[in-house]
Amino acid sequence: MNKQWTIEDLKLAFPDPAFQCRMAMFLAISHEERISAVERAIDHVAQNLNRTRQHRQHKNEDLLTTDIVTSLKDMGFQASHDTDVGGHCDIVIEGREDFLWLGEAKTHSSYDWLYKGFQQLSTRYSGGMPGQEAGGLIIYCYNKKVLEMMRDWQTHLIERRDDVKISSCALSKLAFRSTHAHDASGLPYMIRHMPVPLYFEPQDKVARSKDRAQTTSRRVARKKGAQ
Amino acid sequence: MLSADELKLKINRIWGVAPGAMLSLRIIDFLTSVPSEQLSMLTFGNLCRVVGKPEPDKDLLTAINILVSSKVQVLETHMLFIDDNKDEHEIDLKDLQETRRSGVFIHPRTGEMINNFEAHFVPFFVPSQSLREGN
Repeated sequence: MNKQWTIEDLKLAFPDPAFQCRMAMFLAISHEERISAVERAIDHVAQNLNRTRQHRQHKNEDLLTTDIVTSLKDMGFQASHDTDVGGHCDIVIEGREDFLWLGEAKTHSSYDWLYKGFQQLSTRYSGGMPGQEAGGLIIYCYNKKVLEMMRDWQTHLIERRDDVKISSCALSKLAFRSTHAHDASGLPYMIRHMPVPLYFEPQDKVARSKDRAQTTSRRVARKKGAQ
Repeated sequence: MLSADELKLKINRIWGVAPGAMLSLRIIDFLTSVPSEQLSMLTFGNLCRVVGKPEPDKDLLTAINILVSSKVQVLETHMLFIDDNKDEHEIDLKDLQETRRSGVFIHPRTGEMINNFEAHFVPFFVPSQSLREGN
């Protein structure tokens, strides 16, 4: 007889986040649940990018975004890169019942650059229709202290857009959400602003080479003293 | 409505020959080769048998995600509640959504609150209307 796999059995058998993301998506019965599944999947991919950031120091935005899209497709999401939706959107995730989640990826260089991404997402790519009321601004950060940068970005956004409401994100301490009335549909449009920390400046070798330099200079000093 | 062949081409175009995509094609072949009355409830166990796996794995979960969540919409998710007496009750999707939101599940017949309801919930799948109409 076939085993009856319960939700609990599946969760216990597959504790890995990538499995959980797949399950969350195919068990979703509302757009709200689909948005949550997409966000969890992107967070999981972002964790992997961060874990292997030493190999991603010279990658441009497009290559990093392609990595995200490839991982999402591996999980069974209908994800694509550079799909034409009012322009070439970085990440497009389509789903049943007109579900559409759009993501714009930007490497942080200035807050105006991030604001451009915010505007592209909310005024160019998204139509703000039902089922399409959420998106994400994915921020590749090569600088230190991402939390501070995200706080500054939040302040910058509020200064530029007084119609935007900010809320915290329960999924990640580094991310936040903004909501505003979509220009086209008038429905609330929610953008999750999420950083991908990629700063990589290991100090162990610096310390070792400093040690080496100090040892050498001590040796030189001793030699000079002996002469 | 797309035919099974068109759906398979679409999957191939989006996901290529990834293992999960290949399994999804095998499931479509199965769905279109069996009388619809035999497809009223496809559990994980059934789908494992269809693709020749002893138990679910990452590729099967990917295949199900492709078939359920994407625009190909080949399968629909449903949920069965099996109580301690092994009686089966299909849960209305709206009730399921409310259960997930509130974290509380009430037995549909006895009115009793069920603790650890996920241990009693069995997901199953049925072919979507669009697959039935396309074939």
